Amino acid sequence: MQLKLFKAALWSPLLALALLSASSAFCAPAWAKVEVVTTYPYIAELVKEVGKDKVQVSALARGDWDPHFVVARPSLIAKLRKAELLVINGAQLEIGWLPPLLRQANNAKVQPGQPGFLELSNSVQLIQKPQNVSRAQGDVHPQGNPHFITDPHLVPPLAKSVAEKLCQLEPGDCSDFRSNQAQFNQRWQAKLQGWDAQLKKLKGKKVLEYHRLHDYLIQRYGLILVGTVEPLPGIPPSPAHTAETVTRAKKAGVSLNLRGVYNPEPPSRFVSEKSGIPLITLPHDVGAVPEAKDLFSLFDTLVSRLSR
Amino acid sequence: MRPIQRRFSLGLGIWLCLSLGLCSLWASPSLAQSLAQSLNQSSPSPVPTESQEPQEPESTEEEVITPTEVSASEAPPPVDDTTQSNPFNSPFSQQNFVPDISLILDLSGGLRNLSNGGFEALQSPLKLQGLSSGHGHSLNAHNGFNLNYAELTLQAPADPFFDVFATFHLSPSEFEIEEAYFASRGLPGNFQVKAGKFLSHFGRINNQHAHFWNFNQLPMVYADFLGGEALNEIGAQISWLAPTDFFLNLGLEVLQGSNAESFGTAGFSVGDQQLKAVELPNLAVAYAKTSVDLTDDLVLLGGLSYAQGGTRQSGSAEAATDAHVHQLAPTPIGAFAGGSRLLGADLSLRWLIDSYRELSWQSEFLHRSLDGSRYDATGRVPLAKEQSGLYSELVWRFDWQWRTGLRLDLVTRNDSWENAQLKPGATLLPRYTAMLEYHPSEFSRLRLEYNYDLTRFADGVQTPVQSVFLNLNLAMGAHGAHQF
Ligand SMILES: [Zn+2]
Repeated sequence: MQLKLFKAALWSPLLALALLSASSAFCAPAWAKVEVVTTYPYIAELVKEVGKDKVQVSALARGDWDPHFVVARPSLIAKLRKAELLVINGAQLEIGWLPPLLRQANNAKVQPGQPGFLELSNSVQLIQKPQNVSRAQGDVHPQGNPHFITDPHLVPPLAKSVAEKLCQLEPGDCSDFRSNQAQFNQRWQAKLQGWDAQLKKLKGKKVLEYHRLHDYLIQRYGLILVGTVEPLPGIPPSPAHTAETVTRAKKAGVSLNLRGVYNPEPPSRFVSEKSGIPLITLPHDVGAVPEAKDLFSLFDTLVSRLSR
Repeated sequence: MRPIQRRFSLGLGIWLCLSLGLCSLWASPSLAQSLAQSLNQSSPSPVPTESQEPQEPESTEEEVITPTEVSASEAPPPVDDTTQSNPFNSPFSQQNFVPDISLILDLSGGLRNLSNGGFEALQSPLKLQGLSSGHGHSLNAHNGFNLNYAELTLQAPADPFFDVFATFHLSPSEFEIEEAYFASRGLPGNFQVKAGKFLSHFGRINNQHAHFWNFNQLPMVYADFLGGEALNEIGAQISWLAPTDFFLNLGLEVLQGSNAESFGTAGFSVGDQQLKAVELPNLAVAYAKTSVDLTDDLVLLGGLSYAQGGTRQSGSAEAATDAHVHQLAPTPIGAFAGGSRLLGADLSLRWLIDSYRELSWQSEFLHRSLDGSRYDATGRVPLAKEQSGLYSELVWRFDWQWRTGLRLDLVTRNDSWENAQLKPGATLLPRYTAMLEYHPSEFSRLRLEYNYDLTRFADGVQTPVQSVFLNLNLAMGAHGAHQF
């Protein structure tokens, strides 16, 4: 008899919860900031630049860890739950971790296709779109290379799409967003001239990289990619492959060996030690190294490490 | 009185679920707005919006970007986002409207210190009918080679309101719908409704598919209380994320409760006694899960779960009286009618060292209270059981491609009362498991596992079981993202 009574008792807390949540949903103050959640720290910086004091931003992933594999800790679900806008890198960089978080967030506003969802890769012409994909080629990015943040020239169009999205969500503050964006763009263009001047000197140099993480930068500044230390995307190199990379790099006259901060160091270091090619560890995101505190210092660091 | 009360509570529940969903759809301005927007966008003549008007500052920006020499080499024009504003276009779909499809294959080869027949005849002290094999999937069942399963999963949004999931469990002789359910996409107030056949969110490991487990076997206490498929039922669930800064998820499930290990619904007759089938739905589950990041790298997850339902067991009466070889040996419950309550508590700690290294510790404790009567030709005897067990596992991922781990399973309580007379069963029986994994890529896994099991009995005598198996798990198709 107790067993049966329990079932009736189960529903009463539910009723209380329903009332509680209903009341909280209608009590949001009008002056509240837009709650923005971004997948990566660089996107959070972008939103801060455009939204300034009108937004409350937090990023889900850490800038110093692998952006392909983010542990889907439940605190991220709690962040997504209250988001009014979710801005993602897109091009399937988040495919390995974001979908289940988004499904569990119970937040209709930020689901794909809703106004509170923005995929930055839509404002970028992606490179390396594979004609056909097979995992025999490794963990390929089927929509093209998603690591476009390594090209500083692609930052202004990203800021623009963030401004447009914020305007769509908060039409009342649109003029602020636009002027913030214009100001950011002005500062960016000023810095960009300096970065371009530095990086132009690298034109024609041959490079190695661990993963195809810096290809937008490589393409922008006319560097020549000779190969990757990982044999295929997401497949760690065998000693034989690493040894082969050393011979290939020496023969081709490679002068830079690039790796992201999270890529396993031993194989890249081995290649550099055996070939004498300097190993350069580059930040791929804000927070990847302590100096990369925001978008400006991210590229300052990147440029200074490359032209060292 | 009882049935009326019960029908009322269920009716109230169903009404609440429906009205909550519908009313909130109706009342939520944001959802209505987004619906209106999606309708506008899909109509052939879209109304011009503010964002589409020409903007002065941007035209000057474009001019600033282009003149530099480097950008002339490749100036990627910003793509218009018409594809993005289509609400039916999910950026995670693998091909336009084909659902995401994946197939997971699990193969193994290995040996056990018992013959296949001897292994199948083992008894477990926590099982109601004694026999440890039986209901549900069992992995590495045979000496030699096993095709453990092929698991086919399809998933896609049906429309803006429903996500649909289906998982088919294929084994050499079976095709089974393991899961087929929908989950709501758009309920306001941080609610989600899920209904169909699904793995209950009771406990930590219950709603995880086999390929996600850290060890090959389901923890003993789950397998013994709920069978090899754990709590997998037809029913409905409503869950809610609390508006707190930390993760707090509360949920209720109403399920058919046909689980043959702890519940069961079919009536039976013994001698001239007729036991009616239980009224459906038979099972209610409630759970609360919470998680906090203790530090940036240290994540704590804890949960409490409760399940309660009617129990019908139609085991043979002879078997029930016939197995008193060993004092502590498992005794089949025979024909039984009553009810079961399950209580679960789980705690996990994960220390994320860097992108590819972590140390995780996961433990669960389950308790079952069973109360009712055993039926035989001469009448019925009041019978009750208080049983509990736990598992605790430590897994260390010490490299991108390597993981190793240890698990302890333990029977902690096994008391039976027949006619109010206590009959203690064997307790503190352990099972030890050790594994080493190598992942050639994100989509393949080799696991070598050693298992030393002291929880099993053969003909009433405790019988140690040892096994060594090498399992190969392969995933093809859509990228299955990992839940925590
Ligand atoms: Zn990548």
